[in-house]
Amino acid sequence: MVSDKRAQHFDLVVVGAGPAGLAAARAAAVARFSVALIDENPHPGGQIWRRDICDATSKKNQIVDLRRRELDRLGVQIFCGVTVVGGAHDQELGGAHDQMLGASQTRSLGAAQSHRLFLSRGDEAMVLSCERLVLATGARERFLPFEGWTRPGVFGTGGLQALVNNGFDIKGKRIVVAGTGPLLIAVAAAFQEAGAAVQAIVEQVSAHHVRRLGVGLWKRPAKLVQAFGYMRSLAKIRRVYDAWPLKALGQDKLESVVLRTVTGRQALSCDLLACGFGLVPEIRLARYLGCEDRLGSLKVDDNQETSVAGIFAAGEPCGIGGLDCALVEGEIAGLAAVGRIAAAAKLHAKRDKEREFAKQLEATFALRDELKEMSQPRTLICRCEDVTRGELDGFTSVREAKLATRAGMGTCQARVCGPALQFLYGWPEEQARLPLAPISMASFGVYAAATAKQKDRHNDGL
Amino acid sequence: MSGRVEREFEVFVDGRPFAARSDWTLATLLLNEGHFQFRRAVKGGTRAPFCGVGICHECRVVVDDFRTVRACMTLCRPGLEVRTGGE
Repeated sequence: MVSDKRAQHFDLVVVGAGPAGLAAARAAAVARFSVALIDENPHPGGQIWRRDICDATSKKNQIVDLRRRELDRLGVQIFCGVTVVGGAHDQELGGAHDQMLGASQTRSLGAAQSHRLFLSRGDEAMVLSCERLVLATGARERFLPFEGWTRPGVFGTGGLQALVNNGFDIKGKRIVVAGTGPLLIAVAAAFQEAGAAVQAIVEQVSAHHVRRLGVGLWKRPAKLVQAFGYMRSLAKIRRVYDAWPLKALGQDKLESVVLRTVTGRQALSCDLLACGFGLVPEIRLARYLGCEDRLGSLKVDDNQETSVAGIFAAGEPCGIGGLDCALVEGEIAGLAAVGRIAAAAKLHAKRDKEREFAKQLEATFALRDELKEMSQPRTLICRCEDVTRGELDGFTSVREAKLATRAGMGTCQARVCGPALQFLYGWPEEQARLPLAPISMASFGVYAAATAKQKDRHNDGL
Repeated sequence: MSGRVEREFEVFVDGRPFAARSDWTLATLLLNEGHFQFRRAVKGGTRAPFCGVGICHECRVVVDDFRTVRACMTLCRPGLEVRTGGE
C-alpha cells in the first residue's frame, strides 16, 4: 500500500526495507501496531535482496514478494523511493509543527517523546512521526582510492551487481573483481551467472587467512552450503591473494587494471572492474538523531535499543553482521519496540551467535596497512570535488581538510571519501548535517521550517 | 535468465532515441547503449556510475531540462529527455 498523505503518525516507523527492516516491520505489525516502512529504493529488499529484473522468479525476488504481501496483509504502509533528509525529537520541536501531523496522535506505546522524520520523494516533502523508530539503514561499501578509480568502467562490487540486477547486460564482458571480503566471491559468482567472463578475484588478505575461516565454517552448516554454492560457479576463476589494484588504465573507458601482487606488478585486460573493501555501517541518520556509536557501529542494548530511548537499530548499523544477523536483530528490534520484551529475549542467543561469526569475518578480512600505498599524491580521493591525496596530506582532521580543500563537501557528502579518509589518515567521519541528502528546492521549504529549531540546536553545539 | 529483452518505449539521451523499459533505471539504459559518459567532474574528467546504489552521485544527469537526478535511482519513463555531460 502506498500513501500520498504528507503528514502521518505511526506507532512505529522502520527506516530501511532490507532484511532487518522487513523483519522488524513484520514483528511489530503481527502484534497489531501501526507500522510504516520506508526505503530509498523503488522496491523493498535492500542490497542483498535487491530486485532482479532479469529473473523475475529468482529466489530473492520470491522472498521479498512473499514478505511484502505479508506486510500488506498486516496493514504495514510501505513507502518506497523516499529519502530521509532529516529528523527530530518532539521534545525539541515543541508543538509548533503539530499542524503538520493532521488529526489525532495516539500514544498507544506511552513513549516519552515521539520522533519525526522529514522525507522527500522527488519534489514532494513528507513528514512521518512515530513513537518508536527502528533504524535498519544497512551499510555502504568502503572504497579505497587508487590511480584511475574514477575512470568509467570502474564500479563498486555491490554497485555493479545492483546494476546487473537491474538489467545491465554484462554478457561476454571481462570483469576483474578486487578488494576484500566474502562479497567479492558472491558478486563474482553473480557476474559469472549473468554471462560475464570473470578474469580474477583479487583479495588483499592471504590465502591462509581465508582458509582458516573456511575451517570455522564447518561449525555453521547453513553458511557452509552457501559457500559451496558459490564454489561451484567459481571453480575455474583465478584467485589472486595478497594483491590489490594500483591503477585502472584506459582512454575514455577502462581497458586494464594493474595489480600489485606478491610477485610484482601485473596487468590484466578487462572491460569492467568491480572493487570494494568491505562495508561500513550506515549510521548518518542515527548519529544525527543523537544515537551513540563506537568506532562507527551503533551502541545497542540486548533489545537493540540505541542510546536514545525509543530508537532501535538492527543489522549492519550495529556492526557488519550479514543477512542472518540482520534478520534476527530486525525481529528483536521490532518486538522490543512494541513492548514484546519476552518474545525478543528468546532470540538473544541466536543473535549473539551471529555476532560471534561476524567478529571472525571481520578479523579475517581486516584491511592491511599497505593498502594505503594504493593511492599516490596525484590520486583523486574526493571524487565530488576532485581533491587529490597530495592536497590532503598534512592536515589533521576531516574538518580542517574540508575547509581548505572542499574534500567531502560535494554531493555525496563524504559518503564515499569519508571511510577512505578514515583509513588513510585515521580521521573519524564527521557528524552529518541537514539535509542528510540533497533535495529539490520545492521540498526544501516544507522541511526547512519544520527543522529550524533542530538546526539551531545543532549549530550551537559547534 | 532474461531471454530476449522487451523493448517498451523510447527515452531521448542527448537527443538520440534509446529503446527503454520501465523497470530499467536510466543508468542501466545508458550503460546498455555503451554510453559511459554521464557527467563531467570539476577538473573535467568523465564520470559514469560507480556505487550503483544512489550514494556517490557520479551518475547524475539532467532530465527534462531542469532536474538533476541520479541515473541509478531513476526509472525510465516514456518520452523522458536526458542530457549527459553536465556537472
